Amino acid sequence: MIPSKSKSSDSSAVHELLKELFPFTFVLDAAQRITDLGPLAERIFPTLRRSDLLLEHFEYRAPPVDNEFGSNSWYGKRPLTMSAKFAPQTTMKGQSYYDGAGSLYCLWWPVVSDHQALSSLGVRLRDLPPHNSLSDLLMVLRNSMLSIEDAQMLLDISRKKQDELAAANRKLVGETELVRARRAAEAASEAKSLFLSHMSHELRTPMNAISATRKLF
Amino acid sequence: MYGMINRGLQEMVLAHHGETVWQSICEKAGAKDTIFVRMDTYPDSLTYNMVGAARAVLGAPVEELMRGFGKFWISYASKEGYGPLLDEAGDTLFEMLENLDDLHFRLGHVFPLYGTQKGFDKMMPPQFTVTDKTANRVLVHYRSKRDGLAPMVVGLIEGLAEHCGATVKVTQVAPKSAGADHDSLEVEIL
Repeated sequence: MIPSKSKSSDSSAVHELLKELFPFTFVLDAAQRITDLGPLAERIFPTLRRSDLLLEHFEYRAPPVDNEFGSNSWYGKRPLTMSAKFAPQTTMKGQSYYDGAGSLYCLWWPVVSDHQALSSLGVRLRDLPPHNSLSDLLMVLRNSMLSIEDAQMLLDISRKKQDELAAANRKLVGETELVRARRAAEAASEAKSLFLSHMSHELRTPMNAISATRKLF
Repeated sequence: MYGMINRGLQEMVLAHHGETVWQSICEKAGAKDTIFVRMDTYPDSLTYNMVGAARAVLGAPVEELMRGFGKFWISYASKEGYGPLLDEAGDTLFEMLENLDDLHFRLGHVFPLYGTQKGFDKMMPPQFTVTDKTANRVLVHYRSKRDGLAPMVVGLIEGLAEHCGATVKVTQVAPKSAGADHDSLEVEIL
């Protein structure tokens, strides 16, 4: 049988469980001071201290959030994006939940699109809990990149083949024109020879008659 | 199998023997295409034909080719961007071997199932279990629906060891080809 716990020990257990399940968790108080950090947040942001104001180190990027603690803009279903002032390329995305007792749990993850970006933060895939699909997403994105690279390679090959085909066509057309020109020249030459032959015959025949008649005189 | 496997084979042949030998292998294997799309699926028979053709063209035993390919595969997959997956599987060789099933489970989720659309079998990942682990020795049990790939697994383990900066001796202690129900490989760190 599971032993019963007091409400405060339950709350503490949930607090620790959330940090374990969401190792980038930030816990804030009503003044938006950091009261606790998940183990990965603590590791990759070593300059953060508990009691630091969150907005000293981060700024909200989207959507706009008002500063009134516990207002609707803070609550769970809307994703929040934050960027680190000390490393603008580091962006966190996630949701925030108010526990109704003075603490806001910001369950965030770094926004990355490849393994290199994750690794440059000092995070390895195995640091992510199994329920987190970020590692799967990175694999799918990697596979997509390989497909794009292959599509580009096939396109390059296709263009090269088209160029080769066009060059071969041009050569063929050139050769065809040469053949046509040669045939035309040969035909013209033949016509000329035929004409001369006919003309020679046509002239010689009456000339022979004239020549014979001239001898009678 | 995925085109990436065939592409890996191509890269290995090109790296060690050049384009002419690769073209001879493709011709002998009756491969219509000599360019493989890495995320597409191809019939297993094509890969087996190419290995057979490589044996004939290079004059090397199949076991040696498969082992060489297994070892090459680890560096090739790392180069293609899958290194972090290997790192995820563990810090040491033995940790990685223990997590190989998990690695394949994950791969099964992130690789597209084009094969089934084209009428090929869906991804059939092998199974690995580890027993008899000591400080420098472990027994790896390899089960697969595909036959004849155990020498490649020997090479894969050697490649993984190299990835971890270790040197190993891998011995097939109970080959499936000799009647065992699966292949057992003894891995000893030297």
